[in-house]
Amino acid sequence: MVICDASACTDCAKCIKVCPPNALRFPGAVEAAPHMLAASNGSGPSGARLTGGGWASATVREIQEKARTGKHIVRGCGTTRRLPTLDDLVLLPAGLSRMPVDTYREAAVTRTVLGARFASRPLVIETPIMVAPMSYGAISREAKLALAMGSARVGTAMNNGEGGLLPEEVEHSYRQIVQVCPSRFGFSLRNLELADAVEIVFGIGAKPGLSGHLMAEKMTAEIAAFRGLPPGIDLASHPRHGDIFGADDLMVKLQELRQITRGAKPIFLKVGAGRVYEDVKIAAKVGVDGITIDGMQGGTGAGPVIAIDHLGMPTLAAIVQATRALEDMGLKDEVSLMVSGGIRDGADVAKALALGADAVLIGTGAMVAMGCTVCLECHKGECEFGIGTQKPELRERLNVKLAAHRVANYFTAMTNELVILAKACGKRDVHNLEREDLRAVSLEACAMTGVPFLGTDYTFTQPFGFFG
Amino acid sequence: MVEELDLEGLSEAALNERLQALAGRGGQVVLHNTRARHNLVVNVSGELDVAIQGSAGFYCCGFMNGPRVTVTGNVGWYAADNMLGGSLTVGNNAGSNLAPSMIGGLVLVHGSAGSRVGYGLKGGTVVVIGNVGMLTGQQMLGGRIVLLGAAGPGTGESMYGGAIFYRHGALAASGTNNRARGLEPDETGWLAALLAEHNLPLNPDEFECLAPTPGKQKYHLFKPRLDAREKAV
Repeated sequence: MVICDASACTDCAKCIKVCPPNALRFPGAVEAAPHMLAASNGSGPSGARLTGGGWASATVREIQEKARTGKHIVRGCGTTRRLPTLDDLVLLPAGLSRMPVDTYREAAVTRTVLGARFASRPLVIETPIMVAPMSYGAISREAKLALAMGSARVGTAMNNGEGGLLPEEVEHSYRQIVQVCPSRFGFSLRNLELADAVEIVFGIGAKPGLSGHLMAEKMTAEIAAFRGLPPGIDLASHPRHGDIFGADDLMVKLQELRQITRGAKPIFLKVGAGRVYEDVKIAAKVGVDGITIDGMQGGTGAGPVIAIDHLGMPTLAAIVQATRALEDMGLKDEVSLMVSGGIRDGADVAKALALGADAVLIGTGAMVAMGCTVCLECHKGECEFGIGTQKPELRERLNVKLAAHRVANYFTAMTNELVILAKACGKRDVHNLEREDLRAVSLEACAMTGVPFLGTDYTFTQPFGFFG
Repeated sequence: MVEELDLEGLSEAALNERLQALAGRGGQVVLHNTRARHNLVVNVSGELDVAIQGSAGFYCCGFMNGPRVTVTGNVGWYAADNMLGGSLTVGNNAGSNLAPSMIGGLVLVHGSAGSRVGYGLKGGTVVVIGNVGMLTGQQMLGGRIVLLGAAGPGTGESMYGGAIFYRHGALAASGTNNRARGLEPDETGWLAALLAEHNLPLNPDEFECLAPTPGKQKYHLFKPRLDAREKAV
């Protein structure tokens, strides 16, 4: 028999899980509860066995955490839910009906041109794979620099994210997409002057409908000064653009930005995948050069779990909706379509391109290339690989040159994979991949995309394009 | 020398390029037939006096840095957005979201302005002689807003920096994450000089100030009103 001292108990519930019920006694536990609340880190004074009963242990832990704090739970990275992905599609290779292209001896086109609709100087990159926006603040200065150097080695673009534009980021990147975020942290006319392309942000895939978050652990004096904020605050960023309150305003705003950029630089618009069809139609109508759709599998530095797991649309469905919208408007060949959210390898890229994307953006994958293990703890600022942290002692763990090399290798390998798949499908240009090259391996994907079920030329729900 | 420009048949882009060319040499420009067109005097930098005879539409003086602009009529929404320097003086009223994310310079409105004056303001000074709508200075990072008339609810909502000066009793209700305080000595001197410069017969003693609450901001998702009672119909 163990008599527990309630005044010393931290409510971790470990003893309850380990010992049989009759081995423990909690004299005065209920009375002690009020003064234990501050130190509590467990399941409550009487404890509860994690017996399951249809409740997943993660669910039980989340409820206990919410019961302890009275707050919604915040964490980093994207959703951990099982959602339909691009893995639910396969590519049909060439054979006799269509001849393949020699995988290792014939040239292939990967060069990608984005934003040529109205801009006189569109964005030209050597691979349709770009670095997704990750803000200075969410990730370290060293990580930003490594992404810039890595993307430059393969001749592609990086996107700066919300937290301003670091001088070394501009210096070392090959092409820079500069975001115009609602908060305008670290933003001024200078950012537009330095940009190769401009992106107006209306949401991100990990938490569409919500603003950016940067927890106090990362709001160091340096980050705060760069953003013009007080240090040490938990930031819930600006929810809306102060100078764009609707589509009509956006049309005028675009004219303003075109004047500032002399009509040379492409102007993109980014939305988190939600009401994709309608959003894309509005964006195309108001006159952007390109649209970025960030699917539900996209990552974030910090966000409410309830939003990460339950808001938005999987990338797979979002690409189809976006393509469909542009085709319905007759603008598919004019407006560039970029996609992000859970893209991991060349197969994902090939399938995204086949569904209608012109390019993809990689965030989490690029961080993994630098050492990230997707521990979902970015919000704590304790990243032991020096990526999602602002602590000097952790930042110095990141070898910038090595990380840049690994990012470049990852992008190169992914582009190689893309080329292998495209050639196997009989395409010399990766942009010639088409939806006719695809089949769905699951009924969900078939229904969601309109791509025929494997072994058939048929789908149910709304057909997508080449048949029906 | 004063240059007169008729906007009839002239695009906004062509006008702004013309103004930029003139800004290198200084001088004065008078704009006629503006008819509340959008994007006037956008991205113009340098010394220049611009007089808009009539009204301007959205984004007037956006990203401007240096010119002194006067508008005899009204300006639409988002005037002085992202403005870096110079001044915009409005003879009548301004629409909502005046000076969003403005970085520097002066905006002076003789009439009233709509909601969200100085949304995300970073620097510079915004003065509204008439009344303003709700949420003035929402999430502003810096700069100063001076309100001579009445202000709607939510003034100073979640401000991170800067200060909002208002006359005693003029605030309908302030937003969260800010606190009212008296003026610091340097602010009193600065405000007295500003009022005198623009011939506004007021005393800094008539003003108080909203400033950010130090420390972490409080966010409200759910706030039960436990004393609420069903209203009898």
